[in-house]
Amino acid sequence: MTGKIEQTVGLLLRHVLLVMLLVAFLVAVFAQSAFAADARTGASNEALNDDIVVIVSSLNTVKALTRVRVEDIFLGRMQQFPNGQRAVPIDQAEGSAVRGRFNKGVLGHTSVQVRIHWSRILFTGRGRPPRSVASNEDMLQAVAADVHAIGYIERRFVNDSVAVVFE
Amino acid sequence: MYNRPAVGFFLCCLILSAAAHAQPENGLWSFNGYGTLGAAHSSERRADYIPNLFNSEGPGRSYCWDPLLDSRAAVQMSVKPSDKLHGVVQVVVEKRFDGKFKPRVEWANLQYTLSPAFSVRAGRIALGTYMASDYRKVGYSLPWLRPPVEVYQLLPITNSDGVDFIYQRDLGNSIYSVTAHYGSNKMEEFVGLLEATNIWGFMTNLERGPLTLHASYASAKLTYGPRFQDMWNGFSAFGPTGVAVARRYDATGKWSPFVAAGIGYDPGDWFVMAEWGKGDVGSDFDNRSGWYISGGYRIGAVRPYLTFARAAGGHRSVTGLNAADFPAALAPVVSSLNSGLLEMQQSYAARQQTVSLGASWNVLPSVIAKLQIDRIKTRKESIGTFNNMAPGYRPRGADVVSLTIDFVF
Repeated sequence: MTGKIEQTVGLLLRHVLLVMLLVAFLVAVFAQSAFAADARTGASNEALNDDIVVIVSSLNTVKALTRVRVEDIFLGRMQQFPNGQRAVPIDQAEGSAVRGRFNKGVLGHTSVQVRIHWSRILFTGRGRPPRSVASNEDMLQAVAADVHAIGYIERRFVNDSVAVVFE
Repeated sequence: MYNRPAVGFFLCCLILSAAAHAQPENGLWSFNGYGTLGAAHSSERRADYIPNLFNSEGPGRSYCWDPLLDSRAAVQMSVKPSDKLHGVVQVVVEKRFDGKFKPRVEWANLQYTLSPAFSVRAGRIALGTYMASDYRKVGYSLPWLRPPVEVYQLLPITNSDGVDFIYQRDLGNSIYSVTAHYGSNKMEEFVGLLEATNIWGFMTNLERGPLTLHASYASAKLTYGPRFQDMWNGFSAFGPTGVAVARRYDATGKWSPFVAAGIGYDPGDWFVMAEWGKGDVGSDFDNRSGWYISGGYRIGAVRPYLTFARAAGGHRSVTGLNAADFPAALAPVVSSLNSGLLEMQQSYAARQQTVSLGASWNVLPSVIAKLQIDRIKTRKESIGTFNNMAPGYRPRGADVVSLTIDFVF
């Protein structure tokens, strides 16, 4: 009797899952068109903005970093500056044009590839993606205030509270 | 108790992933999850295609379209009370060997960073035997729909209850790390309950920009379930010749060494990856090995890929008892013991090759859809990764079509 019920429920579950997969694909197709449209707008904004620079607090003794080192820190491979001091990367908001351009221009990957990279680290319990701030102004403040912090902003936002370590 | 929680869990994960946008890690606690919704179909309807030792059924004879081969959902909680301490618990729901969906703790450990170079973990930890083995269940993270079975099935253990030590060194333009681990594991697979009472080994990794080199060694002392024990007892009942057969094949308490190496290159718009692995159970079942090479190229949001994989090893026949040496009345028993032994030999080493053509498509930042077509051919009288055959039938291969939607939140 119980076996019969389990069998019926099992059959039902299979059908529910198959229907869910179908629905998910349909939803995905619609969502994709919106996402692609967004991505195009992002790309057209790119030409209007000035370039992106990597910054640390002016209190930090690090004066310059290589691209490989910036990559290592932002992809979680390295948790320290070359001088041995702890490095804490900070990202701009998910989906922002600045973050997209930093990912592509400095890290050499699309935002989705960076996300896939972090999902590998996250779901194996080895670490977490960097925290993020909402804007260039917030980034400036967060980096200036913390000797361990490293972030990136559009060049026109740079002031004395931070030092440019990669451009 | 059986199915409703599973459906609920899948739905919850889907809703959560839709609702919760990427959450930046600002706090002490973080809550994340991943999952896959999939369906697979095999052209071979007289046997099941089972690319995972933890499944007892698959597409083919049991199901025309099997939604449970690749579907799973997981949630993860992590806590970081200080810069040095990090705790993580991950629970996975997927179809288990017994057909049920009881959630299982995939990992639960505490990591303590002693210095930038040294860290130690204790609890249930991920085993990075292969390049992608510690995230093999996270469909979103994988370049393929599922890892090449010819290599990843050789050592299906994903975690170990124990400790590991990680040493990381910065070599200027590259990063080198070595992990040494010790622990134990218990799992249910096609051949019954398998208990690894001792697992030890080390992994080493070198990352230099887009280049990754990986090598690992592991050795486990295995204890097999009652099905095996019954068989050895059966053989031993036939006197010294039977005892000799049991001694030749019984791997209980013997060390099973395993070695793997891999190389990957991923500059962003394309990737190539190749891995090789070889293992042994310390008995006359012989060794088994596998390798694959895979590459892909990104065109916008779509990334097509092609993989060639091959598995070898094991013997084609077994040396059991000779029925002529015993009274005719015992012939059926001898024959059933011998065929049981042959079945073990066959499922131990799956000689087959697979050509997989697939594509992954970034639907949304946190959602990836994949389509994969596998052309599987069994080799050298092996049944490959097929099972649950129709009586007297020997599968030669199949074309398998699979579709998945992977998500993370």
